Amino acid sequence: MDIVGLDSLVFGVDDIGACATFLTDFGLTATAEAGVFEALDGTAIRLHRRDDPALPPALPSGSMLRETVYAVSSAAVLEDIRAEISRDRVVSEGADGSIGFTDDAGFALRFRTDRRRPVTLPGERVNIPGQPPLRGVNELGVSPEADLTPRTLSHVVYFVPDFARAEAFYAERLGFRTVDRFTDVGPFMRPAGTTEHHTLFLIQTPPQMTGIEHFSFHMAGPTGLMQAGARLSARGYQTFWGPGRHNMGSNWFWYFNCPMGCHAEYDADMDQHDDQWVPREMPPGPESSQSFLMQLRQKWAPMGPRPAPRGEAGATAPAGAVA
Amino acid sequence: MSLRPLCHIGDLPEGGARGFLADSIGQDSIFLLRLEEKVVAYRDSCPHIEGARMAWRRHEYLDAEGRHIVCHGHGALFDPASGLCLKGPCEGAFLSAVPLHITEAGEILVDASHLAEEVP
Repeated sequence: MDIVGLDSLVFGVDDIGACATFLTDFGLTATAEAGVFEALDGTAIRLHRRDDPALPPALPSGSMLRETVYAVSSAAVLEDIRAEISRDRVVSEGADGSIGFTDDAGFALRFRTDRRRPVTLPGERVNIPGQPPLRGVNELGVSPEADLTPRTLSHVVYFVPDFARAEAFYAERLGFRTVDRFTDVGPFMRPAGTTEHHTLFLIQTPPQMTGIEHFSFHMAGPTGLMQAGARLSARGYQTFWGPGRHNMGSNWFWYFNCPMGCHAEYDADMDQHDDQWVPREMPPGPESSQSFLMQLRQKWAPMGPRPAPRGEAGATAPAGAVA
Repeated sequence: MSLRPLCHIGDLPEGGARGFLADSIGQDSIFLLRLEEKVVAYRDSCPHIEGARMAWRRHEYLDAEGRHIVCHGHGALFDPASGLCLKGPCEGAFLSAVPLHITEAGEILVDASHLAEEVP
């Protein structure tokens, strides 16, 4: 089944204004369609009022995530999914030709033909001794005007009551691959139509927590991630975890609290895998969860005392004096 | 005991929250709520994950109607007056209350030595 990645996440919220402020400050672009905030390729977060009757039912936890929308490569793939899933549950059809149903943990899913726009902008390019410059001569690596719009919706993470059952559903019914796993926690999974390390990560929790843990958008590179995270911090947003770099997937990360009652992550430079990859398993814990973890601090300039202005008395230290 | 002044009671928005004792990047250590009859203070640390900040942006600790304290990390809801988690990962647990000293003139102070032990 050629599911190629995430299309969008749909939230039902109480405070649309606060959520819109957050998503805009996060760097997503408000579109002409009310409540839709998109990355460069058109993947998006879609906001509705919590009581919008058009939304799938809420999970008992009150999680504000109401639907996860995936992109597929063709209408024929939608038919394959419909044929498989309708064997044991209701598959609804949207006016746009998309199909929807609920997974075994109660998460509403939707599948639609791929409408993501190709993004051809260069990513972060670095210069490495012994290699030809990856960035052109006289081309700057750091710019205060850098475009920090997230590139694409990267992945979503669910709290689930039974990761083995959830993993089996995505693997057996939808063709997802398990790429790596944390022992007794859950798997990192990718649909067959993408080489991304994960577009879905499952974390086993008590049943009352079933819901979204976080979503993540890919940035152009580590520098863009750091700039975007620093900018968000300067605007008063609260870090949950990061910046740092994960082991599983190798992606840089920086997680923030968000008014949709979950974490919003910037990530960059994720590993790519195909079916030749042999899944790893690691025990969960601080060592396995990240290669390194850093903490933002205020900018400073450790340059010592300023020199006295030229021409002023005392500007020239007497011979032999040591500052 | 070393008492540290935070603000005047009149500086707190009625029914609103305000964070105090920020670190160098603007993440507060405690937050105060002015309720009808009293002022309460809690450490900005969710009982679900020790040290996890709760606001979605500085001072934004409450839901849209101001009825509950929310940990915006996972959406846990807390009773403002008692700090009891009503729904969420830490249901049944309490926020860590911070004792305040309020003078007759309405100045609010906190025991900073107590905080030094309590707030990482």
